[in-house]
Amino acid sequence: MRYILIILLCSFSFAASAKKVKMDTPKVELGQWHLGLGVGLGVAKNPLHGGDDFPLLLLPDIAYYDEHLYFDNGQFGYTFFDEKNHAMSLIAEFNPEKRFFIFWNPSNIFLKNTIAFTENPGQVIGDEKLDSIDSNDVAKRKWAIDSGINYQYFNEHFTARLNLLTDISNTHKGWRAGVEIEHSFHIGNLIVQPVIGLWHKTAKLNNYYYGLSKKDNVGITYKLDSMWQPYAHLQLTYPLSQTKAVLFKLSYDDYSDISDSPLFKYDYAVNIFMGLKYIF
Amino acid sequence: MKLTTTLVIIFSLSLLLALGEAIAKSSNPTLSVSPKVCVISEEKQVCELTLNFEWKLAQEQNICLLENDEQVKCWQKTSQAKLSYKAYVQVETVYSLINQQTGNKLAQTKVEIQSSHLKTQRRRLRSPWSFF
Repeated sequence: MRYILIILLCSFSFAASAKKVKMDTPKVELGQWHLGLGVGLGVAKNPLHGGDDFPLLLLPDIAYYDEHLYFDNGQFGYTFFDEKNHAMSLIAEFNPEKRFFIFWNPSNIFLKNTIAFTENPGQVIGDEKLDSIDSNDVAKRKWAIDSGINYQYFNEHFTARLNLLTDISNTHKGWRAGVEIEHSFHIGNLIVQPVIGLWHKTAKLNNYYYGLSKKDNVGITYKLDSMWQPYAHLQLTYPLSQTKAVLFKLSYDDYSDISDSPLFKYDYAVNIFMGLKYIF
Repeated sequence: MKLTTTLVIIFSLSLLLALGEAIAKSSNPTLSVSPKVCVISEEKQVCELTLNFEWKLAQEQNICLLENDEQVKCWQKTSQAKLSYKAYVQVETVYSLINQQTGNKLAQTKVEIQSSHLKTQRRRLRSPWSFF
């Protein structure tokens, strides 16, 4: 599945070498809800043993911006500096790792899978690991609220973002720091928006979600170190009218730094969606 | 050293410094514009105003006044002049005085634009459809 990352990286390098077109940063009306809905087919793959893939049939796009405050697709922010090329905000959002511990399938409630593990930590053969701990059988992982600072640099050709977030909900007690670059270019009417980025996540964060402790009561403990997590996203939009467009989204998050944890089935998480988007 | 002697030395040095600065200032090319700010309304997106320029040089030169990189007016062998100029500006505009022969920038000033109406839009800080 690493070929997805390679494809996404290629799209970004193509973007970098493509004819330099000025990037239009989308603008939103102040004090108004911006609502969009994608209707189509897709899936959010769960990399954990026993974890459910989440069907993506509807994909919302929800944003509200005031002069300083904003809510944008799950992130709350207060922008205290917003100039031509720079913006800096205080932000808060749910830590996304919890999403792999949500059990969507009713069978998870009624049918518990059997635990299968050995004393040795997992070895990866191909894409799938032999030894495993089912994510349904470990102690409950809670939603954490991470908060911190977000800096953005806007250029004619790309946007760069820096994030430094720490847990303010006393859940995982760790922190994460990330950098990403977004580009946008046109091929005819098609709008291509690749994003590449890298997170650094601390051992505390990784251990809370993907480590194993006595609390998990699965017979073994497993400690993780901090990790580097590269990721790449690609969005293709083909406008049909002012309010309708064909939307394709693909994202790849790499978990190979911590995928030796017996909870991991795959060392990556992939989301894919294709459909029609409507802007209200 | 007596206190009075010290005070006299400090006073003399300050006087010398101030004098030096004044001499340096008078020999530096100066360019001033009035008004420095123009307020645009929601209905009119362009600022239409008469700008009054005044510039002074230490010696006579062939000089041009530029609006951003566009030439406004040139003077031959002149060391000071005044100019009233009808300008149409939309964004912050830089006015510079350059030596016509060498192209060297001698002085510059700017006219800022302020909007009288409240901001109605702002840049979106996350990619649309960024739930995943």
